[in-house]
Amino acid sequence: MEGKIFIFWNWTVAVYLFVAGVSAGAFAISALTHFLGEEKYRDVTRIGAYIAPFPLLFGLICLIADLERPQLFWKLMVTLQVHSIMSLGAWLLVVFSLLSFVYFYLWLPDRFDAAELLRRAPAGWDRFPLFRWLRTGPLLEKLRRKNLNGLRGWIAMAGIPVSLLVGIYTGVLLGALAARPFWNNPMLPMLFLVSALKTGTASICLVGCVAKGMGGMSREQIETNKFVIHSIDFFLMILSIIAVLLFVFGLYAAPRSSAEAAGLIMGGEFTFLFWGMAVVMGILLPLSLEVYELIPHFISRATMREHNPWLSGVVTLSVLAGGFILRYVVVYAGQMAKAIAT
Amino acid sequence: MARYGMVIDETKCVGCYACRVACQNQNNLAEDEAYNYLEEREFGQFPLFTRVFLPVQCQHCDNPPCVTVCPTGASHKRKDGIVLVTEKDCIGCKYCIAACPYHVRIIRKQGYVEKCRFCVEFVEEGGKPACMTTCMTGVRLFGDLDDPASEIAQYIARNRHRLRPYKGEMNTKPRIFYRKA
Repeated sequence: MEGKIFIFWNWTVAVYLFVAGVSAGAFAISALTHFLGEEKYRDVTRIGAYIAPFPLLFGLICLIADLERPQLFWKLMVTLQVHSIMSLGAWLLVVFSLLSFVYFYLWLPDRFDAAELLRRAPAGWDRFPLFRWLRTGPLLEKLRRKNLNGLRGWIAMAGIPVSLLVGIYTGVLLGALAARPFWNNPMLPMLFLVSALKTGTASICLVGCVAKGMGGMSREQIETNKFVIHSIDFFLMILSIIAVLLFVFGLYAAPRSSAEAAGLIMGGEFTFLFWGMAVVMGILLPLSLEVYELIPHFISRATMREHNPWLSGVVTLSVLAGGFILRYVVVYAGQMAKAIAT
Repeated sequence: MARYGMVIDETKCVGCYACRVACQNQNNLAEDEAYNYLEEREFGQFPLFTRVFLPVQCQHCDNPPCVTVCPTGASHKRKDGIVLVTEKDCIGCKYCIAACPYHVRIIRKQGYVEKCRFCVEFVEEGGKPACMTTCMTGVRLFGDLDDPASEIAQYIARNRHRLRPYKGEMNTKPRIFYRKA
């Protein structure tokens, strides 16, 4: 064990990095479309708000389960070590979770209004002071009804930087370690951030197109929502191709340890997973399918192609799978690459 | 205040692993757990070849990456330079294992991370670490770097040009100085 290369972070860490990215991406895209067109892209915004809190919740369970002493995880929450990315990140996740749950609540349909629900509660519950205060106090009344859209806007505005930071943090967590040549690459946080936004977009599209179904939506509604989500996705795909290429470039344009670590994905045991699955399946395949869907609109200004759930399903699932495989490869390859002694 | 450090003379090591066993006895480690290891390297081709052993343990860095990344403050550096892990504060996130360029940190069976402690309970009473006292060829030299009369300070003063840090490019500023072949 000592002095040898051994895997101490297994796939649960890869799962966590992936779902944290999905959450951050879904929130960021939801907030972005909220500002781009409140009425126009309402469905995308709403679905993003519904998705955002839950993948991360699952990720936190994975993260705590990965600790050697899960029962002591609360020690993270009683201290702030400003030099430790993990400590800063733990607090960042607390802020993000709170924001995303408030945002989720604000987008729920009217029948889930808490003030309304409490009013229907049995009268006997008024014995508890806290409950009585909640029911009669102004807090819940303020949180809904009055200027709901303004509140959504404020939370979305606060959430954009926080969710971008969560996306970056997953990369910085690994990239800050000088001892691990595969991770110690300034392009890694960028790669993870773009991938996070991409998987967030894909999860919105998946829930919107496949799970929710198109029943009750007019063709025009489908088109506008699909158009915005595919346009954002298309832009992110281009960015992620650049990020992947610069990441590999960064490995080679570095000292000997990094260049040897690059061998793991350039002919080594992760070559197929990285290039075949994460890049071709996760970026190039969905990119070409999206181009196929968008081309008539952009080139000949015709209306978009008829909505095809199979096409959307393949695009979103391959983006999600590619995003997870990217995290998996990076987590494992990083632990297998060793700093070379002089 | 003392400032503890160590010199390891790679040229004297014969690879008997007594330091590893002494350390395991001293720290009540199981047989597959150890705080130090020998990196074995071979150079050249028969008949012109050589083989060297490089004893590696926690370097008690002056710029310790494990302390920087610890999210709970369990890994810390004492005033006298010894890097320790507070057992009750360690949650076992293994971030320090990822951060250490020397790969000397291990997960104990009890679920916390531990590594060479410079035998702090001996050292506080003026003793020497077990790996040093057990060595038959005198590879290791431990002492107070700030005390000009100490053996190690004089050794370093005489041999400064022969001593090098291990993986110095990591900017960890180790407290262990290697005399290389």
